[in-house]
Amino acid sequence: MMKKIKKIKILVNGKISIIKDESNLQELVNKLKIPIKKIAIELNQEIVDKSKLKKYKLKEKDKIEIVHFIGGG
Amino acid sequence: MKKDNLIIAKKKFNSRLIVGTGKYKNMAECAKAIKLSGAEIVTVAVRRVNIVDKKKPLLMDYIDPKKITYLPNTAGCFTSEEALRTLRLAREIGGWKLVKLEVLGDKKNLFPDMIETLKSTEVLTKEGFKVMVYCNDDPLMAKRLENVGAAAIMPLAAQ
Repeated sequence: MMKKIKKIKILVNGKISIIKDESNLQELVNKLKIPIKKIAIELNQEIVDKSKLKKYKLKEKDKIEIVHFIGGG
Repeated sequence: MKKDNLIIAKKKFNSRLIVGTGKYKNMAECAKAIKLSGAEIVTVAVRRVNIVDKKKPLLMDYIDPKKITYLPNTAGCFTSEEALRTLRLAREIGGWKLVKLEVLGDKKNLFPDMIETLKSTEVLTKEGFKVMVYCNDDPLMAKRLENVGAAAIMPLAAQ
């Protein structure tokens, strides 16, 4: 019998996203197809090191903020 | 005639003009206006990426940060905490250290909250930021900002 992959709910920029349990931030960024050089990421209000995205394993109810530069100021 | 360069945080600029990047019809118009103005510094804001509509054009695709100095700013922040978060995120995007700090005290007239501004300048300077500070027109406060390491002051109505 195939093992059922557990899914978890996380919040990305205020929107619920369903991903595989134990996915890491690198997988999430790949899934969202966001250019890493043009963004910054916060995981539960802590800024993450973009060069080590694989290290950050995601869990249920994690809050992720992905920001970039826009016109303004 | 001697060339009158603008020097901020040891960086030399030929133009004294700092241009905003908001409120343009589109990104192409914004890029064109900046080019024609001759400005070498533009203010930019930090906001959430639209994860639903990924086709939205990105500012960095139109204005090359290698040619034009991006000045991330905290317009719209009313607390030191918010401003610090915004600028730390800005630095993480691409290593920016030159930033414009604004901590507002009044929604209507956009006067700066100088207590929060001074506090934030000190924290940011200690973290290695080069801070250009939106401030009031009080010379004593300007001196205090200089003492805590401000790279430049930008008094209201002088911008």
